[in-house]
Amino acid sequence: MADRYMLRDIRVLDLGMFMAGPLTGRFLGEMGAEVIKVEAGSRPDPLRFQARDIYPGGEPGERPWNRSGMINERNRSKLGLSLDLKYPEGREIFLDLVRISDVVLENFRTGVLDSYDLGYESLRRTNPSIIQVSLTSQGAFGPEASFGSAGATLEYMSGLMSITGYPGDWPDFSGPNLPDFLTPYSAVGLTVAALLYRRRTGKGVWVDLAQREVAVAAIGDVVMDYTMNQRCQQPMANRHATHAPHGVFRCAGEDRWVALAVRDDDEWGRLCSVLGRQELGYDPRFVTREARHQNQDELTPVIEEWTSRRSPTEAMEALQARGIPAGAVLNAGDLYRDPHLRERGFFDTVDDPDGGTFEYPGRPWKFSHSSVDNRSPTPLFGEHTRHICEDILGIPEARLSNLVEQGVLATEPSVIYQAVPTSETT
Amino acid sequence: MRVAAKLLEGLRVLDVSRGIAGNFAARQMADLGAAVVLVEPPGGCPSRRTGPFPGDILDPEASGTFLYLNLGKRAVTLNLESIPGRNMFRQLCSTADAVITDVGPDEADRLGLDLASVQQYTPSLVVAAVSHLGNGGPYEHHQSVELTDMAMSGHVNLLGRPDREPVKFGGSPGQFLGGYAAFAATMAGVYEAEVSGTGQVIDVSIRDALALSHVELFCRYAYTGQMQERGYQQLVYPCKDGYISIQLMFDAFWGRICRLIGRPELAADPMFSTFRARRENAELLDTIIIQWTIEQTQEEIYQAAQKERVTAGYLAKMPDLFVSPQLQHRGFFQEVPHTFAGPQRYPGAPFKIDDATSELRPAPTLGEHNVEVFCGELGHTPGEVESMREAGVV
Repeated sequence: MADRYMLRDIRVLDLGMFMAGPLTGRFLGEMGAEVIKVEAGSRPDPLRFQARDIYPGGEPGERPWNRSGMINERNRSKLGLSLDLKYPEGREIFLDLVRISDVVLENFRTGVLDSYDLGYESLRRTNPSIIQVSLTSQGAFGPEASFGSAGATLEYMSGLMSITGYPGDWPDFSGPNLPDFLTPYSAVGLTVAALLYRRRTGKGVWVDLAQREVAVAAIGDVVMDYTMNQRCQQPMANRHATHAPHGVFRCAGEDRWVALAVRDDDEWGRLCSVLGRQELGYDPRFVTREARHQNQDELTPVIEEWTSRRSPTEAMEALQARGIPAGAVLNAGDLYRDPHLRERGFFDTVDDPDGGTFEYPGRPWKFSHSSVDNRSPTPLFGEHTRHICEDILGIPEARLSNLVEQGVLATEPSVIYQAVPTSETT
Repeated sequence: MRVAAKLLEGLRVLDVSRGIAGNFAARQMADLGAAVVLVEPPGGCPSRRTGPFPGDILDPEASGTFLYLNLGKRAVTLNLESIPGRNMFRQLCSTADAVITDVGPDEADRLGLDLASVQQYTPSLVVAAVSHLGNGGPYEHHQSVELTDMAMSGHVNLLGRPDREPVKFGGSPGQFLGGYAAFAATMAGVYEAEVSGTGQVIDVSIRDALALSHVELFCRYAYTGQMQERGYQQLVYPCKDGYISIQLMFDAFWGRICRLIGRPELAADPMFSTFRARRENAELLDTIIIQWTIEQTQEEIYQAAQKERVTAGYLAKMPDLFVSPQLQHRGFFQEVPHTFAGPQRYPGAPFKIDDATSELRPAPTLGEHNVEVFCGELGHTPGEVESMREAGVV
């Protein structure tokens, strides 16, 4: 039934680097767009180097830039073009591509594209119906438009970390850079909305997405408490404003946990029966939601008496069998083995020519009538440069070798960054 | 402020969601100018009761969460448990381009939002079914909340201190992430329907959206067999009035931090010039940096760091967002009136279209558009709507 790709006639020039831009391009590629990842020899995607020591078997090999797990996870379903925009000829080739493309996707610092004279006005002069999607840190206008960020600093700047962590503690830790992943979903939706608009009106647009705003919007309910009551909500670990118990509880094994939540009296009664402590269902300390919330500290040892004799999955299954929201606290190994993700076909097996065969997480959507899947491995650096220049742009062989000689096109990165292997400790 | 072109003008969307993710996905489309109708049960969406409320006084017409999630939508009430309610709903579907729902597979069957019904009766309709764990699979019928989504997707295990219990992010960002994902998927489906006339049913899983939000977690394990540890620490330092987070991605950028703290000579100091050396001398390094940060405010450090091209950000608290010159310049927070909640400042759309802003419109009151939609658009008479109201259908 799933037979066609939704974005089958769309070509995207993906100038994205690091995280948010490239993942947006990957999603569009999986929906069928021809996504061309453009990198300069002098300015390769830093994730080719900021590999955090994630190389197959820990070995960078001869061409580490093709072996970084960080790059290979998120640039799948794309073609790879090495093109240096700072050369006039590089710029001309890029504009030739803009002429025959639908979308230019970029997450440079504000001002970088302008410095190549490739801002939206230039692109639009070349192709009046081009769609530009800019994913900047702070948006393309304003006093801080040129400021940079990373997923971790956006967790701070958005307010998210002001409500995360333990009460009375300050969060000098971070998780998985959540804002880096909020942005691509928003960006895919906006890109397709712009394509729809162009289809209906013939007009291209410039979408200027501010990653900080994307993250603030994702705690909008918390912001509203400040708007309405000037209240700054505080970190409360895993607790909930009204539901209790609501947290993670220690299981058998080292550092193993299960999360559970009780939303109402019915769920509380069922939890008591799962724990084999029916008498607590009548205990005035816990009988109402307010009382449970008030006295939840006393519940932790009671619950852990039961969970500590079970694995996280056993505990989850037993609780879920009685309709109580519960989830095992999973680590990377658990996620790869998770029967639910397996049965739903969440993982893609991808064979990278320089990297080897690995399983990567897929995508959160399935379409009944359209194909959405991994279409190709991440391109080697500049892998499709020749194909794009010859077959798509018709650049003759002689000029091509000339361009390679000048460094406009490259077969290898000309700079190697010395990356910090993992985020530094304080 | 210029008002942005409405990219989705003319698109008709039904929002049959009870949770944050579905509501937020439909809100994205409302921000882009789609005509979104929220279909609520006669008692209203649950978020009408979760607050926050102005002055902490419970009022289903003034819940901050509800109002925020439903800006720019119209609302009707329908008892979807009743046959006339379901008939009315099917009529609404026949006028819609897309439906976003989180009602679950059994309820979707009853509402004609399952694949077989869509193919038979509304073949160009796009239905995005948002759920925590997705359709099928052994956990399909599990009960989930934000906490369990975060636990089951690997986030909780990473967040917190190694010697304490792991924690989730505050708020419900997982549900909002699922909402952004549902927005993306719905748009793709709508595009296909526009091109080929083919509608479809889309399964969007919030847990899956969260689970793939870890490039490092999966890659490190697959490539090296190593598990990422909890308490992934950043360079975060106390300053005069808060905390500042600094990112250092390449050794080559270390010199920028040295210039920033007024100690340029440290750039070449072998005690600090490489990652390994900085790790070995971490305590001394912290002392040196904190000596500088503790004398400055978060705003001073942020501005100075960005001038040196050091990627830094402060631990923003709610008031910081509202006084940020950048967010003010962008007009990110917009004041919107509301009959019951009064004028409030809401986070707006996180994007500009051609340098112009999406205009926020108020969230609907319960059943505010029953007559407008049922009479004006579906052709029922006011008398019919009145008798449906008496029968508890609307």
